[in-house]
Amino acid sequence: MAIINVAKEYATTPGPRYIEEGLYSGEDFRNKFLNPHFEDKGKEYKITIVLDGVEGYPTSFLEEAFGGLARKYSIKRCLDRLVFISNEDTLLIEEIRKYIIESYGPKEL
Amino acid sequence: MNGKTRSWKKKTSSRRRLRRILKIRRKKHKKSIHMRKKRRYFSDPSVITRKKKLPIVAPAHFSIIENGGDVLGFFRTLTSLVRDGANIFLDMSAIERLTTDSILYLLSQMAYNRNKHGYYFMSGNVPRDKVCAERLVSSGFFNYVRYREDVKETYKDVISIKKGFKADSPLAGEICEFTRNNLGVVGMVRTSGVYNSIVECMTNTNNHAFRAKRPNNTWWLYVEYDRERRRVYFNFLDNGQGIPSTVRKSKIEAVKEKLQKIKKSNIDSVLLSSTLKGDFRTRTGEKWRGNGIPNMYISSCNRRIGKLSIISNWGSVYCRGDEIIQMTNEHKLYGTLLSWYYH
Repeated sequence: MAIINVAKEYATTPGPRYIEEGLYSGEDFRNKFLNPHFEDKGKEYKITIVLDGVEGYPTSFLEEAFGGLARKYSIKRCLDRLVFISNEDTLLIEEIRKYIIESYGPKEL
Repeated sequence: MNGKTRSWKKKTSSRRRLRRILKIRRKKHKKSIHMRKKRRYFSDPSVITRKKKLPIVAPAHFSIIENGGDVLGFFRTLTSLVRDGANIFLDMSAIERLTTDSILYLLSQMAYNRNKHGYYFMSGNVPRDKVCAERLVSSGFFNYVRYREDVKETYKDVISIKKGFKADSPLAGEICEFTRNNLGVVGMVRTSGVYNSIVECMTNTNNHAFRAKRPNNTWWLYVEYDRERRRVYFNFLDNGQGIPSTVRKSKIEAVKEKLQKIKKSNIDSVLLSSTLKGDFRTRTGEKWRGNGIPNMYISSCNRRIGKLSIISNWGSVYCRGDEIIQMTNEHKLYGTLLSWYYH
């Protein structure tokens, strides 16, 4: 099992969608923290992401980080392996799941 | 060559064709020399400062949101004077009501004119009204223009005008902290709507506002705390193409937009309203994009933010909760101005 605390390990101010658009982008977060856990197909452990302690999550950040992950590694894999914790804003988890499901990624690989 | 056909080539002699080609080249060469001289002429400050100062008087009610017709007309006149190489004197003494959206637009137009028309010279004065004069100083306007005195005071109730090119999420974090401290709000989640709106606006400037990415894609931002009403006001501006020009349009909408140069229509405000509601308007064509501005509308409906106003090109929309009021501007605003408050 892996635990990623966004505020402590990445940034308290998540930014735009792409790396070229500014600091702490969704693309950067996905490349550094999410992709390494998905690259090996054999690994199926759960990844817990703690979302508390940040100023906010712009929609483009969330969509690129998690929707982009689903476009690359399939929607099913993302939904099966990712576990979210958000005590400050409970609606955030539903929002992220929506971005994964509506990411236009492959359902299974 | 200039639409000449093969039959022309056969009929005319080669000598005559050569003479024609040389004539065209000489004409182009003369024109380029003339343009180079003109640019050199206007790039020399002493040329413009020798001219008599031409005063242009700012309207007494200097607010784009409240008095868009007069103020945008004023900016249109200003731009035409810059284009003509006039020595401009901006007379702000008569201003009785000044809002920060106009200050932002003034600064951004000055920078835009500099990039587009080259060097120009503009001087001016401050409003005689003390409240307006203090607002002009506290906004940080004189951090971007030269002033006869050093402006050293810092004001607690404002985050003075900031400008940038990329999305600056740490700055958005500072603004949210400023908001929480002034309103006595505890918990970052309470200002997440504000944070997300600011970052999305910055991203849109970098991403969509400018079709060909140039070094001068700039956004401007100003934040002010109103102690009496206990609200924090936000003004965000970019000098790009404007939302109606850059969103995805149907063929009929595209034609209507082009025809606006001849006859004004409400197409820009319709496009703004449609973008707010989340219709598939992203220029990228990617179906998972285009959620930035609709989320600001959702925040307005949920009362997370208040009095959301968007003015872009010929259209304006004002959100009161989930109600959207559309209006057509008398004059064009070049770019996009967003304004809202948090309470």
